Amino acid sequence: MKQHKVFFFHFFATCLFFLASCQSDYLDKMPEAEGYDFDKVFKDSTNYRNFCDYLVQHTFFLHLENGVKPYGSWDDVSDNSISGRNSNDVPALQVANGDFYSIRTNGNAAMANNATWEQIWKHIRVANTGIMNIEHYSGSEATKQRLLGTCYFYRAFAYMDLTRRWGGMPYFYLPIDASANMDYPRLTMRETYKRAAADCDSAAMYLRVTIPENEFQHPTKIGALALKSRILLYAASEQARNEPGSDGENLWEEAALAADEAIRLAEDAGHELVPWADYYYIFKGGKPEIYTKEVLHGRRQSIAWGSDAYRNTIRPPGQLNGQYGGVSVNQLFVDDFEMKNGLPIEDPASGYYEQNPYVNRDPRFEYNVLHNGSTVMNRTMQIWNETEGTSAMGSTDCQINATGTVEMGYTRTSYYAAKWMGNTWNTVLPLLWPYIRLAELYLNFAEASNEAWGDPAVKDGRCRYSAAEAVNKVRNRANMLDVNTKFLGQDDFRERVRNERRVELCFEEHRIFDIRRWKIATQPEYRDLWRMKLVKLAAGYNAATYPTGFRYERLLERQRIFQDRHYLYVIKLNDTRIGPNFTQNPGW
Amino acid sequence: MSQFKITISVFFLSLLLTCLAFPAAGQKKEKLILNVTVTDEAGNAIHDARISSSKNRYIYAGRLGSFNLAVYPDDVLKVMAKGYETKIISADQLESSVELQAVPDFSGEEDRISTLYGETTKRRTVGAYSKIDGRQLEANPTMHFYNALGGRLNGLFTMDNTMVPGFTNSSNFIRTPKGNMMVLVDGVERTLDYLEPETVESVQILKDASLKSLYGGIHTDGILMIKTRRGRPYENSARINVQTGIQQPLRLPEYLNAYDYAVLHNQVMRDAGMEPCFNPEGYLTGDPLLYPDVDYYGMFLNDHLAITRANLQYQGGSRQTRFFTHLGYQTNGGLEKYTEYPNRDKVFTLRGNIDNTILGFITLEAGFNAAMQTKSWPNMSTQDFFNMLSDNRPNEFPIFIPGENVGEPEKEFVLGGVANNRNNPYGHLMNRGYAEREYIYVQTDFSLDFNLDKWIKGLSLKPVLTVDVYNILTCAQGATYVVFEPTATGDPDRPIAYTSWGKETRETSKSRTGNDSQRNYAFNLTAAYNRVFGKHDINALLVYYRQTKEFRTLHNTLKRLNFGGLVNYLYDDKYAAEISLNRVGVGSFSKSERFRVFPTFGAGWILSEESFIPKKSWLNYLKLRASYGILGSTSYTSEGLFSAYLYRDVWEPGGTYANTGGGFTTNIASETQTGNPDVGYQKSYEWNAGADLLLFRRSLSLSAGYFYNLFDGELANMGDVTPGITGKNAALMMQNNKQYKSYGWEAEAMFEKRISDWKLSAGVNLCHGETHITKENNPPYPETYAGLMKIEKMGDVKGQRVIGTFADPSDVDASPRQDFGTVRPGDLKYDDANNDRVVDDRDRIVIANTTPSLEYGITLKIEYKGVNLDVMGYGLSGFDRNLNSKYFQLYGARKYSSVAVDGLPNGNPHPILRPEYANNNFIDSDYWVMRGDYFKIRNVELGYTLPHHLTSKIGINAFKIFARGFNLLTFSKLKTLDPENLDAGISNFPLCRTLTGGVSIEF
Repeated sequence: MKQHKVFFFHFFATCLFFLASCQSDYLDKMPEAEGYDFDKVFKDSTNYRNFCDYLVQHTFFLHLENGVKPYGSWDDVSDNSISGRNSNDVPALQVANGDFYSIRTNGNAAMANNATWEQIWKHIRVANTGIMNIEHYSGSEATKQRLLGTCYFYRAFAYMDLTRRWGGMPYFYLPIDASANMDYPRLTMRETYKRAAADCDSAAMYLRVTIPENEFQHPTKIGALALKSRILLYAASEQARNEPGSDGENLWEEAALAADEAIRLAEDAGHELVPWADYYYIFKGGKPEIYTKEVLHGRRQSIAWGSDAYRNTIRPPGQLNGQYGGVSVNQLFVDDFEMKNGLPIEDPASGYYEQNPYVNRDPRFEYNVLHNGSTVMNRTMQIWNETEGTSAMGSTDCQINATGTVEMGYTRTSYYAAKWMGNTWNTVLPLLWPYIRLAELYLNFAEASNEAWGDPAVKDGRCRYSAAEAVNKVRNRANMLDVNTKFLGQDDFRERVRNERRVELCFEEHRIFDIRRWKIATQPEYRDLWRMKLVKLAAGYNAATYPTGFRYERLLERQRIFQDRHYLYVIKLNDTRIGPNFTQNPGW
Repeated sequence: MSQFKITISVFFLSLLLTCLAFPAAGQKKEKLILNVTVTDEAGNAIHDARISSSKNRYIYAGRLGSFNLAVYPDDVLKVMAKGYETKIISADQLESSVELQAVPDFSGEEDRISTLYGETTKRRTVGAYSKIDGRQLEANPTMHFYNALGGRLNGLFTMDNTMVPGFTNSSNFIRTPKGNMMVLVDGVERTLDYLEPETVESVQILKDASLKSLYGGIHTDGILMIKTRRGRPYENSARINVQTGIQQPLRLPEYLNAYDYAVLHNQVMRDAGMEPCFNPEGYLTGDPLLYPDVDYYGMFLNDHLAITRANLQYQGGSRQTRFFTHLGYQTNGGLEKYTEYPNRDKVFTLRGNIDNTILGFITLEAGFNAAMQTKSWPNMSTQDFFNMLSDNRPNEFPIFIPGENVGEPEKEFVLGGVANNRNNPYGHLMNRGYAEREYIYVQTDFSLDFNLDKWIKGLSLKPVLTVDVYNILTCAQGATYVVFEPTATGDPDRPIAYTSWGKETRETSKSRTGNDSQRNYAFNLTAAYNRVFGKHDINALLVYYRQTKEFRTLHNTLKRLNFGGLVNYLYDDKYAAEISLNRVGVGSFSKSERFRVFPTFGAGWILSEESFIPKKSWLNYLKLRASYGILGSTSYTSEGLFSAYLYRDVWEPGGTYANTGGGFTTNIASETQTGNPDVGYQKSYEWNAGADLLLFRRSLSLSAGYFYNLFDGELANMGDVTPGITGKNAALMMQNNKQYKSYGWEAEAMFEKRISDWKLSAGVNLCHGETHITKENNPPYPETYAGLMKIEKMGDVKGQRVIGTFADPSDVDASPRQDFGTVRPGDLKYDDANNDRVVDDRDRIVIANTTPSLEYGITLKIEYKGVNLDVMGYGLSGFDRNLNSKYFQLYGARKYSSVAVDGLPNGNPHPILRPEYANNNFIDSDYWVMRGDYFKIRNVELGYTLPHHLTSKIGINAFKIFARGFNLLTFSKLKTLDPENLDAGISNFPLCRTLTGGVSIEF
């Protein structure tokens, strides 16, 4: 019995012990559980920097990344090219059908979907949080300035990307309270751009002029001013300028002066256009000593050969390990590559002959476009649709399957885009995504100053170059002659600058915004997609008429749908339901 | 692992021999020959009495209450009968008749129901439950436990998703679509993987607030509670169960052959004004390398796979010590042809427990359960494999090409493929390597039961500690192969040219592709006080419980605790009342919200005890019961309690740069959660009422009930209503802002009758439930946006209403614009519900409800002289199916199923076949909807137990041979595919019919 009592006592003692620990601290946050709190983030200098580094490291959408549709460059959704992929969910095809409504919710359609919309706003919030809490920052004054500069830079960057996609937006200078009234009125595009340009000035005030190579991708003062140049160019362009409420301000002049300021600062800091021989290394090959010369703000990455990322984004022809649909370049874009003599092909003096179309063209044509007979990685492209005298369809690099559609991995138009293709078989391909490079600045300046002051050959006293000089810098680098003097009237020159921009900046995701800001996207020549049909001639063909042994024939590949409402994307529906002020874009 | 298998097998065998040797050993004494009659208090013989002898390990079942026993004098006999108290008597004291005392209805041995921390009887409970005996589940031959439960447990909705050997899973809910279910095995959250029915004592669902009340913090509409077997005193037995059989895929999809495909495809192209692509005649007369016709299902699937299950049990004991041991083995798999590694698994289970009473008042209970699964499969998911079968067109490429054709004469054959489809199933089965998974879990329980009767009458205390460990290792060996594409050259000397695609690699070493582990610790302490004072019968319980769950993949340890009490009071065996209070704590909430007390109340009235009901009437028993309670919970995920600390603002450190392939990693910190200090418990207000009846001399039992649950303040983040412009992205805060209303009714009837040698029982049970969403996160949409509003009833699907097809181009132009892709004549025309001249998401209406609202089960048991037939049918009703899979929606180069010719199973013809994906036609609309109701003869057992007088001569107590079947017949409007899962066999493993035969021997 006594033994029982001892046992009993011990038992109750144990029970009490357990019950005593029945306290709420059992349920408190465990050390291993996730998450920092406010102090841990903003009062610790390393974490503060890491918080702001989110802006740098986390893009709001990925360029040339696996899984990001339309699988590759967004030039596919402009008039430069289209995806060879057939599946219904390729946004390029949806865009071509005018189906922006689906793109809004299409998970990977990073150019305009809801996720990207939210991601960009998150950048704005993070930038605003970084600015708001700067008083807590406990590190050095120099770093503090850089953090502030980074936040201002990315706020401007985010508003630039928001506005060119979705139009003018309310401009937030503080992180907004998610439980308060969200019904902010939308600003005009012009006003939003101007505020973003002001942020670029703030950023430029805090940022270093240049940065060491190992910090590449972080913003610089030059980058901030270059961004300002682009933003003001957009603000001055027809889409923003013609919005209601314009007070006659000289936006073109502002844009021209901003470009000039950025050019001068960049050139003085040692930036220059890299020689034509090194053009490849601006984009590929991983040579920082070359790309840092020209690229003012960029991002490095690399893609494994033969990986899904490689096939999805670079999209080489099937013969080069491609599988997911080539980038089919629009014949009308091919036409925009001038002849070596500096004349557009439609100029009677140019020497262009439709049955031998690929000779004596701008060197950038060979660089950017693969066509029948191009050589890449020791393979000669064989692209033709028919062989005279046989029933054979297609050729090695132009495959059409038994069901009549283009095989995945092949072209719809008889061309492939080559800008992002590496030149070495079976190696990892280092890439550089140039957000802003010096060539763009020259073109920004040329466009803006031509519009502002009208005479492209004459230099304004405040600027380093005339409009023509600026364009010629870009042309000469590509071994092209100066703009022909017969195009030095304001209107002709405008056409040449636009042409130059399309050629120089192709597949860098400028074109989709350029045709919008110029408001030309509804015109058939900027809307439709043409292809070249090649027929391989049987022996005994007339070599005088068909010097290449092929007959070339232009055909309309696809008529895109582009209406006025397509100039801006559809805003996430929930957001436009907040209240009467935050309105949806017209037509949606 | 293989060494381990040998060890287990040796152990298994030696245990078996021990059991067989046992009865013969040391029995030298003379046996007593006794003739005993078991009677009730009035001296009438009790028909279904049983007597167990601990020495002989026999259970005698005597007809008409009379037994001829041959037992040793020191034997202890246990006399049992349904509805009577059990008596334990030593053999030398046995007289010619044993009188058993009747117990009130629904309070006998078999009417006990387990509550969360104790036991009660059906008579005194005020709650709603379903219960089945483990033995009934043995009739189910499949390896998946849920398969056995649907139709047997009233209120359980279960639908099998796949039957991949080793990865079988199903969707389940209790009572209503919001019916989250918690699974407890022996009181602890545990998986049902590899649980064998032979080890199960009982399965219950606890459905109402009063029975669930002491489970804190997790929202559940029902707790599925499994009690495993433990040794029973003086019921010693050894048992061997062996069954083996086959599993056949049911209702595989049907596709057109190459010729029919080519003809139809050409037609599609012509209709679209394009050139036809195929030469159909080729498939009749041409070279099969150029004109292949592959029947993928016939070629790559066996018509059945083998399954085998065997186990051995030894159990029994005395009042002092009880034990139960179980060793099991099961294997199933092998549907894929050719490969050495078809989806196949092998499972060993080991289970043992022992209850030992020491010092006369402390019972030590220790239990141990382990399962070890080894599974192998070809190095691809079963989804990929079946997608290959259902995607590859019959004429796309030949599977085999003679090796000499491609200049590799040393090979008998190489594989076919084309540039954009290099998925040759043969290559995937044979030349891609294989994968393997080893899954081990160990569950242990340890408890002490202090019977403190000696000091305070009626009091007992029981601390319980459980530790479970789960561990999974996966490895794979990968490889790739080359395919060859034949193309016609037109050259008569060499009519076919071959292009090769891909490259061949062989991986020499295995790589570990995954490992995962989880641990679950629980501690609880219960104090029970059960005492009768005259007419007052009190059962009281005090519980402290806490649980910690750890996952390798989660930062947060999941934790909860509760402290509660419950009193059940029965007055005069007539009036029951129950009240409970439970203080629940979870870590999700701020200190001020963390603990809350939740009450339940219940009452029962056994009307049949009242004097105004005549005693000897046809009405034997009638009870009315009702309960009401408030239960509190926080979110629950598949991994368990959601214990992110919802009250905190959280910044996540250490994220890395999202670009892949760059090799640049940097530390970033970003906001991932906005804290909400006011967020608190989700509350479920649950009403439940019911009646139980026994009629006609207890041959018919009836039960019916109604329930209504209001679930208020569901935790939800504000994602749907927080504008993107806040920039909060995913870093949102949780709020208590959704509300659901679930209600329904349930009923069951069971009829049991014995007519001379025939024993018959038939039962039916059904449950209807639905859930309405009464408060939802909807942005303030205007009326014209109604189509974007969330569904208001769970299971609803929104889509367009079809009003016809477009007749001609002018019809397209004249109709409201349809924003789902290109529209041409022949395409589906939708209703512009909001009359804004544009048909888009804003015009959607509810077109279907894909969640069943009624489940019913029918059971039938017939026994005649040792022969038994058990039949169980299970049906689900009140729901639709959306025929939107690739099997139904055809276009261009998609493989054409028989739908292309026969039309949709709902009677609609397939919309016009287009060469390209028909965005406009394939969006959700009522065109693709059909009723999903089905009824299946789910389970049948035909068995024969040899007469006891024959088998007892060779020391066998019961020898039963049986044939069992699962999924034998299916009745539904949908004839071509399995209505239980329309993707089965198309994008996943097919559902199967199982047939087994076997024996069960008890020594």
